[in-house]
Amino acid sequence: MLVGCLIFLGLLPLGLKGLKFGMDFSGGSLIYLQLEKPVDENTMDTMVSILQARLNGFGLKDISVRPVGDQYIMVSVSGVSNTSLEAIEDVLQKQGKFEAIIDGKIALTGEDILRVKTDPQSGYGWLPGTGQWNVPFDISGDGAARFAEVAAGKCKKVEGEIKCDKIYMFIDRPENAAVIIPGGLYEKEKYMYMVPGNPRSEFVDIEDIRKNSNVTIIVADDLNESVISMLKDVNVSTVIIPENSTYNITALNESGFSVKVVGKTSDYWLWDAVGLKSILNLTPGVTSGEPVTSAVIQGHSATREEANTEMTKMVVILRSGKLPVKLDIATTMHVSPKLGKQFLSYAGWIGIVAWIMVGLVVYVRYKHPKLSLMIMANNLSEVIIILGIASLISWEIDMAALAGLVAAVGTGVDHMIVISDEIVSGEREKEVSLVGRIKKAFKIIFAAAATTTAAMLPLITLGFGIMKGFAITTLIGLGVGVLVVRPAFARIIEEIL
Amino acid sequence: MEIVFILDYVKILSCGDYMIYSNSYYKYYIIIPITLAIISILALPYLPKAVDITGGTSISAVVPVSVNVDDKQIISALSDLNLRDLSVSVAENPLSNQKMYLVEFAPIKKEDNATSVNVEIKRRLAGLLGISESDINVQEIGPTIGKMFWESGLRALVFAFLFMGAVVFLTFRELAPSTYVISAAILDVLYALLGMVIFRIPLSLATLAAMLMLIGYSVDTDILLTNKVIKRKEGDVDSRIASAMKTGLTMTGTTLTALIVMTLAAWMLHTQTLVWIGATLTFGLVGDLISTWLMNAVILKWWVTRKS
Repeated sequence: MLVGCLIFLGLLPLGLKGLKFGMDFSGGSLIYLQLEKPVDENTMDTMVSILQARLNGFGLKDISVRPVGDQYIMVSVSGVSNTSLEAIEDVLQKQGKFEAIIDGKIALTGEDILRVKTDPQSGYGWLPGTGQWNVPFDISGDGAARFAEVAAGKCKKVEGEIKCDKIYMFIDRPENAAVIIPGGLYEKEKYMYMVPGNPRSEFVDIEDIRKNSNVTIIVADDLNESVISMLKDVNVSTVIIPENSTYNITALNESGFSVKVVGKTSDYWLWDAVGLKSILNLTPGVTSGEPVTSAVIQGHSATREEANTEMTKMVVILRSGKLPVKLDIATTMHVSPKLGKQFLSYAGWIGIVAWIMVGLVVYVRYKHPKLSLMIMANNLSEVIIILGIASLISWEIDMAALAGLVAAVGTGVDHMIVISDEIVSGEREKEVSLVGRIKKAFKIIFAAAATTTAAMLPLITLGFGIMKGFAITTLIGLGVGVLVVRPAFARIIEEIL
Repeated sequence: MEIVFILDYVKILSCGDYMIYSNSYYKYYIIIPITLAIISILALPYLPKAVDITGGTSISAVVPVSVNVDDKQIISALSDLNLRDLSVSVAENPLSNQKMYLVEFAPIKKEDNATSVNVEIKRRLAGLLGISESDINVQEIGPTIGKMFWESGLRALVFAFLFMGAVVFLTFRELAPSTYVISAAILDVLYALLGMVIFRIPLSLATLAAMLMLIGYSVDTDILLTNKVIKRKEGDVDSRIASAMKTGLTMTGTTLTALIVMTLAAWMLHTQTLVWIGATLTFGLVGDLISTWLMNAVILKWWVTRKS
């Protein structure tokens, strides 16, 4: 009964959610980056956020960036994405270019930022009372002088109220480029919140963004002669267009433009297209014309979580020019989706053959068709429950997980043979009760499972990649087997033998 | 002596008689696993290693069997790229009407810009074989990451074995079982490696997974044997070992049959990785028969007899 319920519970997520297949089967690309030296958790988090931001900044979507141990970072793209491995490598190898622009003039660049201070002693953090958060950072002498000059007089008193200009922060702002935006999208992004998603923040419009990014913006639904000649007039080399647009890319290429297709990764596509990351208001303190070498970015957030998200974003933006640690590409891998799928279906068929073989061998050994079928049914229910759990916790099924699954099911067969033998031989000797015999069998099973579990634990903590995945799936499988499926098997076998 | 051993096995297989430890020479069974272990260790330097362990690049493509390009054409098409240790293999799969090209070479030097070299190879291969570039699998492993996989893997394995020994000790409160459970797991891995050397199966992440799978199977038979001999009271030691052996051989036999069929099926379907995993496990499980029943059972009987 219980197992019936669990099989149903296992099938439910499988049916509703399906399984998430790893790169081995769904295809895709994977890059291992090696850091110059092992780093602590904080530095690793910063590295991961910066890389993620840079990849998104280049309009590359569906990319996962994950730390592996203390010296490696794994960047992976699923098979369905058409982002090429080469494009990602390209971005990772280049330095991120940070620029802060006021009134169309560059006020600060990545090189000017000496240090972003993330310790509370220097003022970094959120003040619960006022809801204000601070991200302090140091600016070089040159940077401070340029900032002072550009920002001078940007706060004015208008009708008794102080009005300040805004500062636009970019990562990898495109140069010599034009953005073509379809009419529908233009209508949606004509006016944008200065803080995306916050309806209380001020509006900025497309003209503000055009002026500060120095990127030509053309609204057009199709690329007719006049648009092409307009592009030629403004003398740009790169044309940026949205993903899934109907624009004729070949026509652009033929006219000598290189085309960059950008997907929407933040609230506004236009921000992604020009690399705009954040807009802040200047404060009167920094517009006096006097150079300041230590500045603070301030904001307001209602909760600590919101503040942390915002502050991390600022740190990542300010640091994007310089990664805390140098990195190298250690490994790259590309699996074609077609081959991965083929491999999975073969593995499935081979699994079914092996499953039937187990049933046959058990039948030859015990000459008991019901027992044989029971063992097969048990195996199947075990697989369904394990896959159900995998689906529930969104565990990725890759080579390692598959191996773990097979290992768990294999030891499952071992255990069922122990139970069967104990019952059959006990019957012959007529010594112990059925319950006693099953108890004896379970002593062996629990001891064996405990030993295997002990072997898997170090593999989870010390190993990584294939070892870790294998060990985790094996443990889930062992748990399901020993705690649920095997006791159920013992009950059933009491009935049929 | 060997003939006597063989006769014992014939006895097991033909008559279902598992009383092979009641003779006077049972201790000498242990010669077989130890000799095999020594041979395995001596053979280790000859173990082939795959690109994911040594570092380097492996590029594979599956095309219809009708594509008529041989390995020499590919080698000459790539000759100007100065690839070190370039090897090209072609394998046909009559079942699916496809064939697979595998191009492997040593790590590209930093100054040569690996990315652009790979892109170039992909383009040439796609052109030569008439397929799209996205259908080509590329795997490039730096030499350092291979080394790191290896080091952290070995460290994890050492701890896995130690933990295993500790749990066995806690279960049976005796030192002997812990020792031989660990030894048997190590021997099983060694035997699997010997099989890989003989059949030229390279050490790779996939075969590494196979060796991890061995741990569980190895533990099952060992615990079964130890439990039946130490914890049970019925019959004498020989008959308890015999009873454990009957169950143990059924367990390993079932798994082995399934594995051999799986390996053959994978071989026919040309799924190289699965062939490698299946074959490695098969060697390891055959090895487990040797280490469990010719070593562990012998140690256990000797130890129980001496104690009483």
